[in-house]
Amino acid sequence: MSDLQESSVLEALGAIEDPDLGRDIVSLGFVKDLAIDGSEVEFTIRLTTPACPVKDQLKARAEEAVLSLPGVSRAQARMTFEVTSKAGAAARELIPGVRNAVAVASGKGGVGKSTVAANLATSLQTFGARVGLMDADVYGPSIPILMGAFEQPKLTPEKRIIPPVMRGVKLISMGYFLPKDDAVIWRGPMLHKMVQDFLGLVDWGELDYLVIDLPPGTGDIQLSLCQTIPLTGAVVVSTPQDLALSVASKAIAMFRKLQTPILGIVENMSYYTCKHCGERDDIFGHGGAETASSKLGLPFLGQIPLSSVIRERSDRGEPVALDSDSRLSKPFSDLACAVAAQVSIANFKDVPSVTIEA
Amino acid sequence: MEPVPTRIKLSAPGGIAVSWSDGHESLYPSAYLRKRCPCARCEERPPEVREETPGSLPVLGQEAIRAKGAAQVGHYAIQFVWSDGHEAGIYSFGYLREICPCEKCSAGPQPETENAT
Repeated sequence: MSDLQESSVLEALGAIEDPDLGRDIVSLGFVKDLAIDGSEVEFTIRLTTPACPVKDQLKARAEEAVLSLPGVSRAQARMTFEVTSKAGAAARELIPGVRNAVAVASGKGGVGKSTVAANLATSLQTFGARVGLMDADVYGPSIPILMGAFEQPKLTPEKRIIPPVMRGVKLISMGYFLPKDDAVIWRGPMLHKMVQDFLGLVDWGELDYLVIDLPPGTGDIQLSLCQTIPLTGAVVVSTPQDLALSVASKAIAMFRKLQTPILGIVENMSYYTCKHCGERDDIFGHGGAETASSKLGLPFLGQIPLSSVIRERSDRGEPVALDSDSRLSKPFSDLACAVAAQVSIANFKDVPSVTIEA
Repeated sequence: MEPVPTRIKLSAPGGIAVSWSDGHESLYPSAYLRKRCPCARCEERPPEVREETPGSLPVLGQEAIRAKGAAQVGHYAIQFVWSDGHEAGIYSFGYLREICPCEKCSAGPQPETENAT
């Protein structure tokens, strides 16, 4: 049969919507390499996230839609991804290969921000994305411990820092440059310089996501980071407790003031499942972060349970997100999917960009 | 969404011209904008003192101040490099719009209450 037209295949595929972006996959330009050979149709669907939870469903629906056309005997979709970017001029200059910088923030300390950051980065990496993890928490750098990476970074002949790679993730931390047990007691301008150096002097190479673990609160580092590069967005970590949420809303207010998009809120230490009886205990209350995010009009990115296994594995430098589909890696892979989806949505939105003329 | 600048012309006739996303056009005399620098050092001096301080040093005061360059800061602000060497001020989009010297903006934001009285 030679009367099968490309246009009718595209029309059939045009009925399929990307659930995150709410638009059809043809007008989004996701359908590539369409080949019609007699009654056989092959094509590629290129999504904007590596971790799209509905990938298999999309593939099945697309193949089904094409198969239902008269004269088609076989339809084969290949699924790939290319992470989008909306990095502005400043970011292109400072971190040229980085497509998206995502900050992990919290209002108060001790909510497990670094654990979330380390597992988020690991999880994105297991989906096949190129990922970097920058530990910007100068006061309590914990990424080297969480990722089990104590190897000192090496320098290129041009004196650029080569980040060590651990669990497939490129890492950099203030912890590498400080004598053990020493503290950072710095004024604002020095912190600003540190942020710029970390961004500019590190040879990140090509990255889909650079996850940045921020110190808690709303201080110099957060401000410098938002001023130095346009972040794709921030992920705010909170426990379900009212107290933590009221402080988290301060971090949210800061990002709003700096016009940095907030990708959503993730609830850590969400609940505890008893090792012995399996009963679930909502130690810090239930659903607080989800209620708060809907009140603030922000996406809710997921719940991470409180677990001694997460704690033990973190202390050993083996993030639970490394496991394939275990009870504890699932919340983190769900989180990674949600963050990747929000990044993709943010990149389809207009961000302010000013043309400056002499 | 609050208006954001889309285009800034540093040496427009009459000063610095800013086009906004809501269609508004602002024209800031360079010295006016320099005097309203929001950096910590400049803010230490009350605005009325800053208003009265003519130029800087008398020798240099003769030359009109101008913006030599500017850069976007993150998603939210503009940083100007002034001809007197100062560049610490980060003018958030909101602040920049707030100090627009055009008649409509400086008249104040509540025309409704005026009509009511």
